[in-house]
Amino acid sequence: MNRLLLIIFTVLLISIVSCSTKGFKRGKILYDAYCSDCHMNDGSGLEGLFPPIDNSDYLKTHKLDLACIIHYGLEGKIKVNGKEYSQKMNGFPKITESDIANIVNYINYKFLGDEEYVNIKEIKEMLSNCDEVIE
Amino acid sequence: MKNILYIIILLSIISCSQEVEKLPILGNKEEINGKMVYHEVGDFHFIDQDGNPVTPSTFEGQNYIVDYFFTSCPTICPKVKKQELRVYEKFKNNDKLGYLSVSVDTKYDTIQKLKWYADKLNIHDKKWKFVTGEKDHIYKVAESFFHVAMDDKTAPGGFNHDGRLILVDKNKHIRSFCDGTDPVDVDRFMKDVENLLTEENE
Ligand code: HEC
Repeated sequence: MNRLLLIIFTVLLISIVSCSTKGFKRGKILYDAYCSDCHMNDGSGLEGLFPPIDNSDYLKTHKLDLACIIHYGLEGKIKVNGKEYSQKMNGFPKITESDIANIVNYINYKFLGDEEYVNIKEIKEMLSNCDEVIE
Repeated sequence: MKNILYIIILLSIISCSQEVEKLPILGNKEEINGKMVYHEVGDFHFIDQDGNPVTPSTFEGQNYIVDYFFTSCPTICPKVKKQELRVYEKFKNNDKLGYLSVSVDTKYDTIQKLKWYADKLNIHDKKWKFVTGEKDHIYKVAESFFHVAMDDKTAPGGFNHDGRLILVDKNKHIRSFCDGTDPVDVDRFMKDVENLLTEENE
């Protein structure tokens, strides 16, 4: 009886631990695959060509736009951490909403030091309000 | 037991005192009339971001690092450039090391575009040439640069997509290369560059 309890307890513990890091794991894989070519694995960007994600002041004030930026891309002059950027970023319409959530959560956690967790419903809401971002 | 201990100590002494070897000369070599003849990179004539011609004599008395890229490349080029900048920062004050970034996009990468790109990378240094030229010529010269690195000619995209950095010495010999997308390999490459530069100072 005691043993059974122990096993159940262990399984629960493992699943809790793995659940809480899982999103970031997949988010990291997706970020590395889709975003790191330009923004670099460490989010540092490339001089005046590609803006940094890591500690980006632009992103901090545009957090709710991140899903739209991933889906539709970004165009026009922007200023990130004091530097101007004007190249166009193409969107990734093929990335699903749940994977956008994974990327957003990874970026929030890794590059903005923010543990806040965004779910698919919130991503959907963000994506239905993209008009201003695209202009 | 004692014997094993001796062997271990001996081995560790040998491996500790192993000297750094001179950088090899890479590529095909042939013995002609009792003399070793090594692969040399071919002649080239390009135009750089300021509209000036670039030929082997531009790098006379200099070693230089070669890479192929294009300014609108969305895949590995930015990562290679990031690493190349790391190499550049490390050897910035060394006049014996130049840089040659050859664009494979002869249509889109005009002199102005190359200038724009160099500016965006914050490179304002005569030692770093971003160049264009005639398409056939660019590809032909690539073969002589990437000669040693192109063991797999069937790789998708070919040399212009494999992101290598090639180290050429002042005698037109290829001395080292690395995968410009891999920071660890680039670390090793920088040690090779350092070795070449000190070897020449001796
Ligand atoms: C082909 C290069 C490229 C790729 C790949 C890319 N971006 Fe971008 N990204 C850019 C460029 C260029 C800009 C600047 C756009 C502008 O100036 O309007 C940018 C801007 C941004 C910004 C706003 C500025 C900042 O740094 O805070 C965010 C956020 C962003 N990208 C996130 C992503 C994410 C997430 C991915 C992967 C899903 C991604 N990008 C993939 C090129 C790229």
